[in-house]
Amino acid sequence: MRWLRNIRARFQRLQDKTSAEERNHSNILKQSMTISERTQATNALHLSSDLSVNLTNIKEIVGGDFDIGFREFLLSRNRIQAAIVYLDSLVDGIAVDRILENLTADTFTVEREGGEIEPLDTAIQSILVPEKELSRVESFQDFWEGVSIGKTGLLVDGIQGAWVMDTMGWHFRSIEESSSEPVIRGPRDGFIENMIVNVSLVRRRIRSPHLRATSFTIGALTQTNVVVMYIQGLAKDELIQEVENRLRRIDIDGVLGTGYLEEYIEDTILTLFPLVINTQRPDRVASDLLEGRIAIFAENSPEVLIVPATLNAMLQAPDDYYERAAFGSFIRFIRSAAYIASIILPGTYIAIVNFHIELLPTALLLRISSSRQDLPFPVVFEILVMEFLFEILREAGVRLPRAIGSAVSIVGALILGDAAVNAGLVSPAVVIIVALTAISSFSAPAYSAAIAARLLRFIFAILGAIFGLFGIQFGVLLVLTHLAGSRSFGEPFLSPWAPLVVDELKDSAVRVPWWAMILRPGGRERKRQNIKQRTGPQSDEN
Amino acid sequence: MCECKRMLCGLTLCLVLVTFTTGCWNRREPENLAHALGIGFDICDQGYKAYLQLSDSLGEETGGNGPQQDNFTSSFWALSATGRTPYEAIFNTAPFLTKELSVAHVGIVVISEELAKKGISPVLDTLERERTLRTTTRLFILEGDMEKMTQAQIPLESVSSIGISRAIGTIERERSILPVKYATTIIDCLAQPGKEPLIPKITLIDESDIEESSEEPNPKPPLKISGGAVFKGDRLVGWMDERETRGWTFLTNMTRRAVMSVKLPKSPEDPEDAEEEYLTVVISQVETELKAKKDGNGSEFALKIFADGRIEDKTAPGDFLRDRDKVASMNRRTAAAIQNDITKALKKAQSLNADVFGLGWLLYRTQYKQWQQVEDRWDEIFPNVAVDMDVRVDIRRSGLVNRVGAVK
Amino acid sequence: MIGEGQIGGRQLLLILFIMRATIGIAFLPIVTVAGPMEDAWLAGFGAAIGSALIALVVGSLSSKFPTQTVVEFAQELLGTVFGKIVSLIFLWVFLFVAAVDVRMYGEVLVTAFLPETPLFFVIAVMVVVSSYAAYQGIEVMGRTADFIFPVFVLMILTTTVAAVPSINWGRLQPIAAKGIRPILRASITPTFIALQVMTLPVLLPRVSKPEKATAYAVWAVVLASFLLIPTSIVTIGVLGADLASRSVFPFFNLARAVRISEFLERLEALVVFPWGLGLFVAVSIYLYCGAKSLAQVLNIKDYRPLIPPMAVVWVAMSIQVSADMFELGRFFLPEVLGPFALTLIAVPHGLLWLAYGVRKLKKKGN
Repeated sequence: MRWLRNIRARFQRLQDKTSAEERNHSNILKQSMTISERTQATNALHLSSDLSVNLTNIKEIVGGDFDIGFREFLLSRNRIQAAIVYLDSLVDGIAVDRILENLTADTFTVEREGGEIEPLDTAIQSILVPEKELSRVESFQDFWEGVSIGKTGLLVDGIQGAWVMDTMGWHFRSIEESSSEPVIRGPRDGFIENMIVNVSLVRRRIRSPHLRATSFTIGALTQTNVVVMYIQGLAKDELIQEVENRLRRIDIDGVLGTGYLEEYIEDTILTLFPLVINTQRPDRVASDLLEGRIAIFAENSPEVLIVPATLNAMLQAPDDYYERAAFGSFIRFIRSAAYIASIILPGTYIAIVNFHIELLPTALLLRISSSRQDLPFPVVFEILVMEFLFEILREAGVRLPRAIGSAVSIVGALILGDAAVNAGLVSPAVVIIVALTAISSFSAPAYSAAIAARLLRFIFAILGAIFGLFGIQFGVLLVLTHLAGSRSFGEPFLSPWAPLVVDELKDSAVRVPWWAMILRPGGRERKRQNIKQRTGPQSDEN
Repeated sequence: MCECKRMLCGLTLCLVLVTFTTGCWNRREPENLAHALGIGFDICDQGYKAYLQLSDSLGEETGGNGPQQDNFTSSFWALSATGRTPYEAIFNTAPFLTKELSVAHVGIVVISEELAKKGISPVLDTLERERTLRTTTRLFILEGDMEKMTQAQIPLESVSSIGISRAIGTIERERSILPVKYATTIIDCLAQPGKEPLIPKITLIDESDIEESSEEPNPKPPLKISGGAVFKGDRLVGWMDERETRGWTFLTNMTRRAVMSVKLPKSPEDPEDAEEEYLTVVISQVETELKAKKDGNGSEFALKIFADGRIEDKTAPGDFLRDRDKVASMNRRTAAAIQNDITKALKKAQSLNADVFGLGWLLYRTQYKQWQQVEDRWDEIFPNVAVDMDVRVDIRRSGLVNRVGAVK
Repeated sequence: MIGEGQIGGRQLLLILFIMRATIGIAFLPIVTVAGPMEDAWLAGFGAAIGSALIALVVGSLSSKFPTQTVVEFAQELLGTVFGKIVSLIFLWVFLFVAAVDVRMYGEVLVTAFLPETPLFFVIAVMVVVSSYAAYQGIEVMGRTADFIFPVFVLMILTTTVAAVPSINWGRLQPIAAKGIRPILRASITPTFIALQVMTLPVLLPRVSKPEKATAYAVWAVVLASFLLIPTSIVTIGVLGADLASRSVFPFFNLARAVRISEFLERLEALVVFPWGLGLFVAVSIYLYCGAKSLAQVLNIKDYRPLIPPMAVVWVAMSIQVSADMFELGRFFLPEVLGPFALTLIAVPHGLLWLAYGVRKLKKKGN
């Protein structure tokens, strides 16, 4: 190992040397450099006080001519050389023009009344005050970070560093209802690809000054902004630390969605169940923040990650909290049952029909066995093939343009299923079971939790075909142990059922009224509200 | 971690391969099974003869074009085989079957009179030992030919076994005839001291009747479920008719609803040769209290019955609303009718010396010391036991009208 | 290696409860071992008292050493060599009891559901599933117990309640007419099944409040014994004393004899579920305790690598433990199990208590 380290160190030294040489020659990059060498070189680059050097450097690094704009001009009466740099594709042209107007206006001068000469940078600073966001940067890295999201950089001859002003003018989708998590009752806004808008959606819901948003930049090339949001004093400190550590550890070229992050920060990859919640709903994020969880936003991603995740949280939908408590509880019960059914139903059907026919009422058994008369395949094979077929249909439905997608599902589900039954290839009972399973799996509110069910279904079908109901039992035990052993950021995945936290059961399979949910499920401070609150006219009395 | 993964892969592969192998131990496709719905047992020279009634799934539905409702005829197949034990007899049908026999859905077991006289415990043993046969199977004793019975076609039913199973529900809810018991109950009855089983009887109606009626559009029912078979130990010793079994249900607190017609008293003004007039009372809410008398030496019992009645019809005029004495008289007469039934049943049981009421068991349960004294002599004591009866019936309502309509 | 973690007092109680109730329900020893008795349920009280005593003897010694497992404190009390020999007795108990437990379960599956499936395969799958849990550590097992317990109790109670309408109360009479001796005899086997409590000295250092562990253990065995009372009442009330005592698996036979309605019957497969769930908890605890104490005997830090080879031994053992069902049944007769279990409990604990007493006295003398 040591020899490797030696070589690496020597290589490092060599690199440092060459890059230093290059800088001296103002020849920063070479044609032959690979991307990581380039990144390293540009990251080390500092803006000089010489405008022409700066401009040459920038032109050399950025290259190309399509959307990068350089405007060189003289700062009004003082005749100081200056330039602005921006990306045409990202800026708002009007804003850039306004800046130029300001800087080139006749009124701008460093001479104050009484012959006093103001330092140039203060003068520029003061004339740029009306700008939305103004910051001073020293390195090329920071400079480019601003320019690459639509800001405009101002370089002035004789001044070390540059100013970066907000002139963002690029386009994004307007806020609309999340298509993957619709609700009947409740707010309709959903996250979009613009992170600032996303953060604003949550900020509007929680106006406490203790709502913290810390940003990270992840992705060597994409330089994606990632924001970690939590309520200081409510989220556990260790949890915040852990999330930030895990995010900092990430070293990747690009982050194109929060899904990339998810795989880096999960506790283990050896699981089918998602250990991180993702959602497109700001109200969901807000409610989780209020329970001491942490949200992770990423630029260009309409999904926000929430940690720690529990299975319980994945089976909850925002509707549950907006509807009446009794109905919320009922619907949760249905949903949990449907989720379990979507995993074990096909396997159970195989087990009962192949092993435990005594469990069926006589008439039903005779129906099934007569409908299976002269069918070519065993039940297991039928179920597995039909399930595969269904998965193909579902995938086709997602991939195809929306208009055709629904046509495919109709053709697939109705025509294919009916034809298969009529041709005597599969039995109608199997079609019913597969359809029922599919519908059940759609009722899981978290799409990623439903994915686990889709995969486990096949395993359970096979187990059911070997041991009957006992195979299902063995499978349930395995999955249960696996889930009980899973943790999401230190939080047991099956909490509050295992380990059993009696008070948290109020918001699990049932949902008690808000005034009865006295404790938060997680977080540092458990007490959520005054205990004595009750609904009804006498609620003021104690 | 790596090892773990490899193990998982191996395990999954094994599981998948095992699934598709044909001989996957106990996996059975339902269409490859022949489902027996009812079994009959008889004796023959070889030992036991088993009659199976198999459901014919092809008859119920053909192809994939949905159920054919009109096809209700002959949706079962009856066959028989012999063997030295009941189990062997059942599974000796295998050579005749193309499918594997499944007895998981056998709802009724019928035992022939001859076999019952020889002893039913081998059959009961098969029932409780075999894993797929259910102990909730209902037992019947058949009076008549088993072959005819298994081939009998009950109107309104596709398979006679299913028909009989369905009838059981009706019997339990509606009538005061003998409740049909699980095999478990009878097995337990055999083991309990001082208690003998009484098993419901199926009577096959005379075969010549069936021959004729099968051609007619309205065929007569081929069999009837009523009465009981009295056992001493596991052997049949005699029969009880409908009224006797009704007495038995009254005494053992099994009555849910009994329909009794009571003769009306003749009034003095009636002519001598007037027709007998009747009143029909439906008895419900029966409460029976049977106790062994403390000082009775184990041979005296006290029976109290309280029951409610409701008048369902009446063939002679009369007004209960105004005449309270008449009500009291009706109550007394109904009570006497019940008492008659019980006495008849008791007489029959005593004449057969089979304690189907479990009087000895009652002693065993409530006066264990006393029972220890009479245990060995119970066969001598039972024919002479006395039961003091105190039956009270309250006819509380008269239906929707209170007197018989006037005929002008 | 992640920290092994801890279990709470409640989880300990649930684990011991499930372990004891499972084998108790599995073949209802109080109904079967002492011949037909209408009042066998009375033996539940005897079993409760007896097993509570055993739990006290085992637990109170172990709670004197709240941070050490039995392997560690036995070596401290009796010296390294004798300590290890005594620990081997504990190991033997874990191995043997678990083997018998799994074998019973395998037998019921093979007898009643999968007659053509090899016994080996059924047992192996159960042990593999359990060893996965044992591999995950005590904390995970605690959580699984949390999850399984309500399901377990609910399924047993549902079966019991569903059978109530079929009860003929007369079958439960006469009560206590035949003297106290048969009842005492019937309570021997269920009492000594509390051999399971011998896992407590291994689990105790992992309990978050070790000083309360003994109390939890006593509660667990007492409650589990009381669970036997309603189940045996219902079993006898439905099947009758004779059939119940003849049954190989009476609770299972009970489910066979119950018909909830015309279309809902034959729920016996569902009765075997809580049994399987309970057995899973029991076997994973035995495996954990076995691996843990073997690791300590051999001075190995991590017990996990020992689990796969131990699981293989377990499977072999439970196949080997008896040739057939008759032999297995005979093992549970009071005359056989009583002396056997008494020796296994009395010898190691007698020695340990003696050594502890001597050491106490010495300290006082000094």
